[in-house]
Amino acid sequence: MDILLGIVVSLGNEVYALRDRLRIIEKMLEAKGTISRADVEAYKPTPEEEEEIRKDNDAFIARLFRVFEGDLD
Amino acid sequence: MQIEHNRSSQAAFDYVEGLKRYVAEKSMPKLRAAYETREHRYAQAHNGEKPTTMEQVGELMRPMTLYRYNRAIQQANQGFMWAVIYESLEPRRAELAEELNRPTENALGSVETDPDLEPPRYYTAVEFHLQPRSYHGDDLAGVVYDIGAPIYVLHRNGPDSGESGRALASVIPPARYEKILDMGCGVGQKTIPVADAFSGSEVHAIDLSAPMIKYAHKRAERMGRRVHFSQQNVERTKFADESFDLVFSTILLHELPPVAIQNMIAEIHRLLKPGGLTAHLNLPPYSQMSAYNAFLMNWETHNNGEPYWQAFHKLDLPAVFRVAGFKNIREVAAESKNTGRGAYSGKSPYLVTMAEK
Repeated sequence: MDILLGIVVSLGNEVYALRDRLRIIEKMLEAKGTISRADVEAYKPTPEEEEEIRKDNDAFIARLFRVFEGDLD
Repeated sequence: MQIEHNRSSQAAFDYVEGLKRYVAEKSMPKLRAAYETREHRYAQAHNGEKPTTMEQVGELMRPMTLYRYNRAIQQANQGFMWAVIYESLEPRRAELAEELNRPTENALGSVETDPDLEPPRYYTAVEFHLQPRSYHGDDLAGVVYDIGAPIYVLHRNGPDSGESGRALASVIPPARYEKILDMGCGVGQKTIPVADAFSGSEVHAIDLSAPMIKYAHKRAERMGRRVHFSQQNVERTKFADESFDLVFSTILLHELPPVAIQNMIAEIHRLLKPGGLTAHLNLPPYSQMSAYNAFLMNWETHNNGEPYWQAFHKLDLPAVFRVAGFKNIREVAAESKNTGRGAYSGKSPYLVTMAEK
């Protein structure tokens, strides 16, 4: 079970990284029309965006681990 | 040495922190509620008496699936944290190692490693907090620790990782401490705020790990602080008798077995001038918290590379100071300004054990 959870944790991180990238790419496409990979890697969110990111992060993780809502026994 | 994280690394760190927050803020309360139903059943079977020891709490907690999964997630996430940190640094390994070894021009302080120093077995046998190759086994151990510790404590120690150092300084009696020693300084996160509190003092800081103090030196120089780092064993240093006015440590003692703690306290007695002060900031002993919190906290011992944790939290630390000949031994609570959230054991104040020679 620990192995399964370990895989889930890894998978969650991979998926999260993709979401993060997509969020940035969408925002940048709006603003610029053309973007590079270096642009994405160098991206620095504003403090307001940091707050937005954190809320989205918390919601994402809560959905991922929704199965832990109950007693489990 | 400036470490900038690219977006991929930052996203990975954000996820690790988010999961730690989830465990601490969302999962732990559910765990408590589930425990309380077991506690209630236990009381019904034991004439209304609830479990009073951490061992009794453990007997109820350990079979709980929610407890096992909660801890498995915590441990997996912890391992993941170190992995993503090392991954983020690997492309720059050679460059960082070169910078760490390069002598600093016009240095304010100094750093002295000792290649002949034999680290004790209790130290080399452990990967503390599951950090791969521990504090001493990788050139980048200091860099990794300085990135990992704030994530690990969910930024509780603030942007400079120094809040617990300021907490310690706040309970040390104001005085002129000409020579100060930080024992087990690591990368100097707490050395600097204590040095700042007693400006004008000559500050020395020692640690067993060469990679940690090499990074500590660069870090202090970058922050414009004068500290003299050296690679030494707190149980037996190279300093002369009665050469310090203040000797301190922060969150060190739980990483030493009791015999090493005794040796360290005896060494401090030798190092202090008559009337000198020693102060040690730690988390409180188990005797000062509920059985439930003590049980939860004790998970570290067998699961988080902290094999000496349990013995330390059951130790009568003031007695060790008494045996070493110290006077005016007292324990003072020290609150730190927590800027982050999510300590699983709740917001416990630190406990500073102080004594004079």
